[in-house]
Amino acid sequence: MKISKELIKGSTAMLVLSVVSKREMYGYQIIKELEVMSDGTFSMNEGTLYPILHAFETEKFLESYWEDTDSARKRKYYKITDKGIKELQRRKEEWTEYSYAVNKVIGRSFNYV
Amino acid sequence: MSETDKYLDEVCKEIANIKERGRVRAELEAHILERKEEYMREGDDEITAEQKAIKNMGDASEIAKTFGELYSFIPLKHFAIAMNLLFFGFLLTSFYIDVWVLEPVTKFVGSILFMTAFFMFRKSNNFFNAAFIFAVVGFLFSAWTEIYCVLPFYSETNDFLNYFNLFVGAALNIIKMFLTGFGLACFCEGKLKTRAMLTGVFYFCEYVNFLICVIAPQWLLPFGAIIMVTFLIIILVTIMKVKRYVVNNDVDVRMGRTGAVGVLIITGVMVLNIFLPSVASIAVAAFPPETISYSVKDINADEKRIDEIKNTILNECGDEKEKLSSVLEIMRYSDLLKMENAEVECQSDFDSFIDVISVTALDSAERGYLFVYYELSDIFKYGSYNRAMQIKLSFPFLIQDENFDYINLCGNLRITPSYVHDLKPHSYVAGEEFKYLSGKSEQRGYVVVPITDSAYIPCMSFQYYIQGGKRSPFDYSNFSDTSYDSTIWLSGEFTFKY
Repeated sequence: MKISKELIKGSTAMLVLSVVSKREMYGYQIIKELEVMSDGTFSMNEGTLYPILHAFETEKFLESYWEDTDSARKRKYYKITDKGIKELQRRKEEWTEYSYAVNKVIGRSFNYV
Repeated sequence: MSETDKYLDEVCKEIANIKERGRVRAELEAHILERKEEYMREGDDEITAEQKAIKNMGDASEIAKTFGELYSFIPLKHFAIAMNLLFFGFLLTSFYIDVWVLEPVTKFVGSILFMTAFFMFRKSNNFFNAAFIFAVVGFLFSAWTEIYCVLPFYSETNDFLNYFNLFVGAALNIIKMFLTGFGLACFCEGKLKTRAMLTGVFYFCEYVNFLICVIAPQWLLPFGAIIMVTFLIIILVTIMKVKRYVVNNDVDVRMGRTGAVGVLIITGVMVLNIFLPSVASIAVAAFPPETISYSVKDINADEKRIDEIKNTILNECGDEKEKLSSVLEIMRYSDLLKMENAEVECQSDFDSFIDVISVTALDSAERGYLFVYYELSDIFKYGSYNRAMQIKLSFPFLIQDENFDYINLCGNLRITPSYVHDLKPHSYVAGEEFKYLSGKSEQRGYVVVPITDSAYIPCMSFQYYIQGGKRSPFDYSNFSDTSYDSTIWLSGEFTFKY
């Protein structure tokens, strides 16, 4: 089932932070990883990822460094910081609470139908 | 230009910081190329692969907008407010309003405006370093003279320091010019013509102001201030123009760590600017340079000096008993000179030109000095260096002898100007005599010293002469070559220290 863009948009930042928390990755790798982990559900416009990464970097949730590749191209790798880990934890809790509330409302409305 | 380049140009167009723009571009380019290679491995031709890779990236304008929010220019509105604060801050801290408590209030308010403006720049995080350098220069402009004013206290009797003073003054001036010119030039990075023009305008204003202040007649002096204001307006307009230039061209406008250092420097200079005159006065009062301050008693107690004078008189005038007697009497009288209650009265175009806070006069018992608090920067702040003023030194004295027909007191004021325009110390002869009235035991003598060419006067030494005899030297009715034989000059010296 295709998930609406609006719904994905609200959780993209948390998902990106979550993926990067597993290991150091570069932009394209993050997108691929996100796609694989979600069985293709979270397929996003790839360009929209980068402003998110840069915003996180500005907020000091992520750190970055450049590394040479075999193809003489450079890649910018992102690494989560301690501040980022705390932020991820906070967002996870926020999400859990939110999804619990949503499920609760949806479940209750089903009972009335 | 390839499709990828066009796409990246579009995506990065909102990023004001050129370095950041380069980094983002490189990152996105690497992504597109990697994607493109993947599509090519899957069997697409190069053009199709590139188109697919770009399509996957998404709408360029949407991404550009997001990046623009992240790395935006300082909003023009904020910039304008900050510049206006800076401008009015400069005005308020630069000009002297001699009405009640308005002066400290305006200085304080001006300083607050300054700081707010700087923090606005800092907060925006997007104003380039050259602007900050310019702002620092603005403060250095007013601060350098303050620093320079401390040095002459110790230079009066020391040739090395005198020359050192001169060179320090010149060097500071050159540095100030260089920094200000550099700051202006940086605004027009990459545009040689504009840069040259701006620097030229700056120097023109600076020198016209200088000329007006130094050589113009008094009625022209307010124009010095007008020129300074014009100069500030030119700067303001220029900054606005440069801002537009920065927006329209690839100029890196991000302020980094240097900006923070700039804030610290500015804060420090501001503190110095406000407190240095007071601190300098107190410091010099606490540690007076002894070599240029000695008292009446020191002179009179110098037996060698008395012998010297005796011998001089004997050699020049022979051994006429009467003449020698006069000399010795005068010397004795000078010993009676009491200066504990000396007063210094300063008169100028502006009543508060010099503020006398306290006067510790030369004391015959111990070394003392006149301590006159003087707001050093005020003359400069008027934008005029050519104000007429006069200093009136008066003190009670006591003479108990009826043998003299006259006694005169006059003085010679040596001024050590701090401003670089005046390269040598000046001497001014003070000439107002006072007449000794036989039979009166107490008189009040005074010397009026007119000063018509003063810049900063951080140090003045006053040399006084006591002259006495049986007949007034100003009575020319019986003038002859020997009419001065019965007079003697005694001199002492003390120094005004601010």
